[in-house]
Amino acid sequence: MRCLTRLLWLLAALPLAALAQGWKPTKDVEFVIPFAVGGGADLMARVIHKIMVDEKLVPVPVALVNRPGGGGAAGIGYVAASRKGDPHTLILINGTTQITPIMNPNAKTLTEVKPVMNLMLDDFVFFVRADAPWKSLGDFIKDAKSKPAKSMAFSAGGTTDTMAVTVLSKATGVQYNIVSFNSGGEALTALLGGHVQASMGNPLEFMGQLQAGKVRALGVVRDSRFAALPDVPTFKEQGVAAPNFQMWRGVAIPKDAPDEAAAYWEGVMKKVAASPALANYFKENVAQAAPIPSKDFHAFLANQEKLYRELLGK
Amino acid sequence: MSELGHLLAGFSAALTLKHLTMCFLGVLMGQMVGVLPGIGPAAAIALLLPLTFGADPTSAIILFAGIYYGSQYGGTLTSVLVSVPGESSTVMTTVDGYQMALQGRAGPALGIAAIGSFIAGTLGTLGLTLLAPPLAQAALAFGPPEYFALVVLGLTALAAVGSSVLKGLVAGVAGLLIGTIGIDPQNGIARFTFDQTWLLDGVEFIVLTVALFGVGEVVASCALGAARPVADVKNVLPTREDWRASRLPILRGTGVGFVIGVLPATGATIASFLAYILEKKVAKDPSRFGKGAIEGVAAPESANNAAAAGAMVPMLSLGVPGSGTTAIILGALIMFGIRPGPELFTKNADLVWAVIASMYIGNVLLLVMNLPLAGLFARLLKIPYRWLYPPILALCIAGVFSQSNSVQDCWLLAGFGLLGWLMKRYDWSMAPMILGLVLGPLFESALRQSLTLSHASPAIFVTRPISAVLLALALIAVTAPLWTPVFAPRAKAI
Repeated sequence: MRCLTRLLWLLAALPLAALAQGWKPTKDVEFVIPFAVGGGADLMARVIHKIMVDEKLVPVPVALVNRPGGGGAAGIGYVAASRKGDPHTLILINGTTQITPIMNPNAKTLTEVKPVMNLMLDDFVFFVRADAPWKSLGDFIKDAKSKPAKSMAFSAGGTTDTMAVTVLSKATGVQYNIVSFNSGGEALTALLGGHVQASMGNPLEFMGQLQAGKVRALGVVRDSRFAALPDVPTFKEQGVAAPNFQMWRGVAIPKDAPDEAAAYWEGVMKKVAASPALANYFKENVAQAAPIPSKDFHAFLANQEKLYRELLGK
Repeated sequence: MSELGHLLAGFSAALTLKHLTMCFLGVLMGQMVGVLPGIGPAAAIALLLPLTFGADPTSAIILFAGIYYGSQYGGTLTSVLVSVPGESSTVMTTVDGYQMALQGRAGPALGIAAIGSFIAGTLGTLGLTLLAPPLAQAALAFGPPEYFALVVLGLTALAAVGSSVLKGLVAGVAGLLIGTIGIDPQNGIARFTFDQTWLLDGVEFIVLTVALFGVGEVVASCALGAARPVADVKNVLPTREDWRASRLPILRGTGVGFVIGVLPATGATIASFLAYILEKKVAKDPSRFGKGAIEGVAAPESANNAAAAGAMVPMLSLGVPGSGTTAIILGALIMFGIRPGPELFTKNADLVWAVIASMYIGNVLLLVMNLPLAGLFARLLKIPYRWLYPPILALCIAGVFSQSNSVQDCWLLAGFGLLGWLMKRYDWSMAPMILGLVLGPLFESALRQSLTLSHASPAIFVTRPISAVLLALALIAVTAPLWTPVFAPRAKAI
């Protein structure tokens, strides 16, 4: 039965193949997720996979494989070792995979893959509890400046949240006391419990609390307002000269795979990006669709790397 | 509408054929997921999530919740029968449950686990029904210093679970040290990884557990060479005496489990450890523990089920995750277009109450499923043990590999399996080592978070009331042997 369906697929793909000269997959494709089942990166890979299958974008079966560990390095290490140059391989990449080698130079990530396309950007929002005295970013900074350094404690749910607080710290010249938690959920819990004064995090975790009026959003770290949060002013609007800071998520193939394969996968990802199912996923997750084609993706990544190194002091 | 009115409406929704089927499927899958060591409920739900897109969210959440609490039943099976904990929260069950199986009492062990789980699951759900919003609000008072104090209280038990105080402490500290391998949770620096990428995430808890208990037991049995006597399966169900001995441990385990479950940073695993330790502390004859005491099965099994119900409290009433699994269920709600948060109870009352009602039903289903199974599986032990070695080892390897598809984890399994055999050979208890690894990361995070908050002043631990009380309890637990003689005469008089 499976053989038959596959044969039918091949037949269906024939006329297409004649049109699109160049590479196309001829055997099963492996979509490697270098993160554990259930995280944000995993979920997005599963949504992309579902769109590829439902909308029949690829003529062969695509299997999802989780290879978690080492901030993406274990999964990409697996690709570099076992699927070297194999164009029948897709890898989910994100800001974390880029930060990993900055922190631990032994862990190789983006240098081992060929980025194909970026799909989304995730924002960082500044939150305080609804009963906090600060009504704006200006209020908060004024108060922080009047007190000794590190008087204001922030909960951060991971390296990227910590970097967002560093952005604020650098832009305002105030040192904050950053308390690291294992997840955005834990950082939120610490804020709700009043153990810290403020938090920086992705809108997703805080959205329910924001809608219920339990927390207040004082600003978002980007150049223009986020369409999903029209009432939240940017840092720049409030006179804080912070660079645009967002986390990206995209797709790559192995480093030595042929350029024709990269072009093929870019075509597939463009169709994925245009799918209403992906738009809906972004809407529910309060994220921004950001299809960046491969010609711009490399420059974007180089730019991000520079910003990350600056923020991490490496 | 009162809670009762809501609950009745929930039952009328949960008792429809569609939701009932989902509830049954959920607990059945949970039961199976529980048996395999590597795949936990969190992974199972994440894998099913994309398949349920477009389905009715209430059905899906009923299914996911069923997987969650169902897995707490399933993990018991392999723990008792073959000394391989199927779930991290059933490690403590292995200690006495496996000894009971060796004595031919696998049936009562599994039976009391099922009954205890049912009572705890039902009482826990009752707690969720009546107290969720105020409890969740109270749990927020637990910040880093409070978690630190709670972990210290748990660590005082290191010596208590071992065969000797010194061995218990050494094994416990070794576990804590293993817990420091990998990326530092505060600064992101790699520790003890020897430039190995695969060590960046540290040693997975399930690898150490399955290696020490499962592989270690198999190797030890092989090394002994002597054929293990085929266990004589006596009574299949717990006797009246078993029931009398387990009654209070089940209730205490439920209490401990529910409270620990409600706290967002602690879950079923820590709950089961604490419940076991509490039983050992209050027992008239603590030396029976580790040798097949039925209280040592009843308490942790009740605690892990109560904790699963407790973890739903912050999830449903505040929209913050109460455990790794509820974090994924929160993600599922988002995918269904439902925004988890403090308004869930009012805005999505239909869903919340149908899920709560389904938890009562699911626990009954699990009891009905597990009591006959207890007898059936207990009979498995009539098979000569030499035929069981290969499938047990296969279960260990498959379980560990399936966790993160990592061959290195299998090598760790072999290495720690050898250690497990040596520990068994020289009568070192393994539970303190596991306890060290479980509590280590939370201990470190909470300590460093607290000291960051206080600008490095340790006073934060004693100036906050909850933390001070917990630390005082820990002090009493440690010094208890010193002043017990003072009370001894009076105790004898009773």
